[in-house]
Amino acid sequence: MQAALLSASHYLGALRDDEALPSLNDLLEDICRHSYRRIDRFVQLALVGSAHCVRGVKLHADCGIYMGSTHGPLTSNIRVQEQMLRGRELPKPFNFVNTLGSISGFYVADNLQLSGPSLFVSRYGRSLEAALETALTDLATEAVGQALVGVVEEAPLPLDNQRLRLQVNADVTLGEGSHWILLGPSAQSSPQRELGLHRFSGTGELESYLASHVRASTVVCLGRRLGPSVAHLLRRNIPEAIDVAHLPLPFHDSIEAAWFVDQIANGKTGGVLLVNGGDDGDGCLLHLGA
Amino acid sequence: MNTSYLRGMALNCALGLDRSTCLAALRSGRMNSDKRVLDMFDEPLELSYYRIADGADLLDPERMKRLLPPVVEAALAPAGLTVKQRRELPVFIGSSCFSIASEESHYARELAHDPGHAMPMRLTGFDVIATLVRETAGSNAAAFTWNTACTSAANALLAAQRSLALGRYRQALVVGLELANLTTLSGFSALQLMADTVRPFDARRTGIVLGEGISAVLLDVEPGPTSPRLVAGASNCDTHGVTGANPDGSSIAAVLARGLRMAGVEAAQIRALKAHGTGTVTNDEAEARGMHGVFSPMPPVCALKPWLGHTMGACGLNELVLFASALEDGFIPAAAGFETVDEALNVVPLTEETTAGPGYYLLNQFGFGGNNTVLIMEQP
Repeated sequence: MQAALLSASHYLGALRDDEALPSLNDLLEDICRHSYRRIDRFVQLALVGSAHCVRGVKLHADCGIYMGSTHGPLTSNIRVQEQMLRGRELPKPFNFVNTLGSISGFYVADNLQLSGPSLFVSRYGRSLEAALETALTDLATEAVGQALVGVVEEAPLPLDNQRLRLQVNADVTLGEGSHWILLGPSAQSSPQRELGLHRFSGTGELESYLASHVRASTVVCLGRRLGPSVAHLLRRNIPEAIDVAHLPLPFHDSIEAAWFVDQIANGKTGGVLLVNGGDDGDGCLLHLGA
Repeated sequence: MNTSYLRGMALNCALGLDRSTCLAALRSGRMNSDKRVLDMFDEPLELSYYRIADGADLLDPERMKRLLPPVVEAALAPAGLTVKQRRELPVFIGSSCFSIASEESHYARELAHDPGHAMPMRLTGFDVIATLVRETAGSNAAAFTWNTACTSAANALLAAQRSLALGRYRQALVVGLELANLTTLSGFSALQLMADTVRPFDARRTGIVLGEGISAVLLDVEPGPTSPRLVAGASNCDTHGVTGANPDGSSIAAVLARGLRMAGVEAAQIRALKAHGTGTVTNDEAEARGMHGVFSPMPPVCALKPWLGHTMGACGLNELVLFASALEDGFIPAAAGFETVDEALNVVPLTEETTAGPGYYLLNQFGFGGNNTVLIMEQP
């Protein structure tokens, strides 16, 4: 499955334990049609990332929005639980409404004046591939003419609590991110701008894919949920492959999406390949120009 | 493109613990909503609720582990899949509750024992249902989890149908799940959308009654002996307001028209329509206007929330399974409790069950965040 990459944008902010979250107000003022009240951090991140991705691009009104996230709007969920269980009171209505993942898509659609589907589809640590497969399917069936695909992760304060949720050490620098790709039908671009998703089951299928698709210029990245056999094969065949777990990036639970969208947003043209999963089935390759 | 059939279906809801019990309750007019009191707030909440009658504590976080696997197995059984087919079976989940009951329970325990260190949302993530479904089904394949409010399961089903149409998979397991949790019960109370009785399209309607339900469907490119066909559907986003569609019905008319186009079906070919029918003043108004914008004359309208409550993110699949089961049994269910026509809506749902026959049927689902989704199925 593949589609034409029309544009991409990438925001990954490092967070400090001793500081408040950086304000996004200036960015929001710059990119939003309205001054949205009652929105939370998760919606703010979605608005910033999506608007930057489509800046200068002509959007179809029926462009679909495909968002993913491992943890979704955590701040609002935390606030609602505190109101109910610590405060023994009903949640505030807009805190409750903002607990839903798809609310961010509503504001993105409103800001970009889109009326196509707005979908929120997730998978633990692999939300980019879940959202991307859904978007590619909708493009291929002509359910939409364009697809705006985004992955958003926030990091509520205090960050030590967030480290417990993510099960990472106390010295890990946490980040928040908003990573977006705009896609059109496959025939709209050169092979270098073709973005695709390929599923594989086991090392045999992967090896034949690598042999026919990976060039010397292709940057290959290994996701955190690689099966051991697949990881061994990749490290043996492509020793220069990057291990996403060892990259010096501020961490969130869709860090593979952060790496992949960063590569393509920054104009990497020699081929980009992200590999995840794979030993028992359920392997996935995301590729650009590969 | 491949065709998708509803090869296996299963349902556990307030009507009964399996599909045949649900169908028998529907035929006999037996509804199971009752009053619940939530006493953990300074001002206790009393609300009507359609619960699954499993005998467990309503907010017991272990209920999902007990209730979900039998539903999955019941949906898989008719196709007799091999171990290899099960291993390669992708999983599509639609829900709006996920593991929230577990998270609430965990936080409440921490607050009781050590409030200074209690931490909310410790067990976060959307994958808990998909993980249990994959384990139950023996699947090692891809898993997708939709959270689009009350259209979640309908969107999961639509995505599965399109994936099969493209030939990416030959079968797909779709699951909808809604179980009781404090966030949903208290959140809707805070929004003042709750009623004692749900009365879709009735002039006396005052709001929703929440409910629980778990359903599963095995979609297959090969039909069983009497499998209905899932033809197509469509989804759009209405940015009129975050908690409801534009009351002029325009976005609902648009998604209905789009769904019919995707299915290659004319409005006049729709034999009956399963409405979303929440029983809120504004949803029913928008839905009525949307339907009038596309259908003239209006086909028979059925509304199922008086039978199983509003099962939130799972309602698209729960209601599809109940509706398809009724069609298979030869009837279209009535909207229980409807009495007073709302002249402004001009929608009169069926007040008595009527005979169903072969043909196309359309199902509506709408949700917070502007999500509108329609599905079109064909009964053989």
